[in-house]
Amino acid sequence: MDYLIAAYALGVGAPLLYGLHLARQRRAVHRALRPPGTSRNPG
Amino acid sequence: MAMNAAPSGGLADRLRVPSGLLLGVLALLWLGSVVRAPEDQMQGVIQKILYVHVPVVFAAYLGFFLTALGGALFLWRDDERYDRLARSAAEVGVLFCTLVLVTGPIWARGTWGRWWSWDLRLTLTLLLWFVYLAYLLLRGFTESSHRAARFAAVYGIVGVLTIPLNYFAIDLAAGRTLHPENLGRGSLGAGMGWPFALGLATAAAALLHLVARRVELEGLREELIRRRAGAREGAWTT
Repeated sequence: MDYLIAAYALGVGAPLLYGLHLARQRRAVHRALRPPGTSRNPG
Repeated sequence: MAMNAAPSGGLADRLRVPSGLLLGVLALLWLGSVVRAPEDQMQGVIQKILYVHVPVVFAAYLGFFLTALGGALFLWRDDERYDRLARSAAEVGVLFCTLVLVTGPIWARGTWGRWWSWDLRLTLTLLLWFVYLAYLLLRGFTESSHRAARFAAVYGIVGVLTIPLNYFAIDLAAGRTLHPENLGRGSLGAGMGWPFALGLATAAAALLHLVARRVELEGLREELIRRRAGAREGAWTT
């Protein structure tokens, strides 16, 4: 049972963590692309 | 749109949330079906690793196939968007191939009693992983070089030949392998088809979703580099 849990934890967890990493990177690049002094939701 | 506004609203951006939700639903259905799947009479509960191990193999194949496709389209059209696809698919493909190389030994330890065996299928899977790891290293060391991108495209196309070699390794080994045979029609027991099919769908959806996110990120990064270079040029000329 431990082997099964380990396999599924990795099989689900690794792509999930990678996806979260990409989302964080995307937010960082979006922030850098935004002109200074502007917010994400103006108004 | 203002000249310096962050780019958004493209197709990739609009599909981000729906494809993420679809992936979440598929993953829940898949995990639910794995829990409810019957236990194998020979291997017991550990056989359920099949529902994660085999789908990630096919997802890795799909990633490497997209790398070759992106590379071929890049060579043909000379459009950087295809190079982005090739690079992104290779990265996500390597992630899934790593999972193959991790979940496989976990299953092997539980059934064969050892983590690794140098049999043909396992060795060729390791080779497949090295081929695309080398591709990523090549891209990492030669960033934004058009010549390197063309070389990598050819490499990605040639590298895809390791996929059929890997898939048919069991037949090539002619019985001299510990690895189970490729699944065929009727090789799964009653109640095992759904978790397997849902596993394949989830892994493919996960790969495509992650590749799309990676391509989008790559595009945003290149836009940022272009703007910074433009700003520097502007500063020099004034």
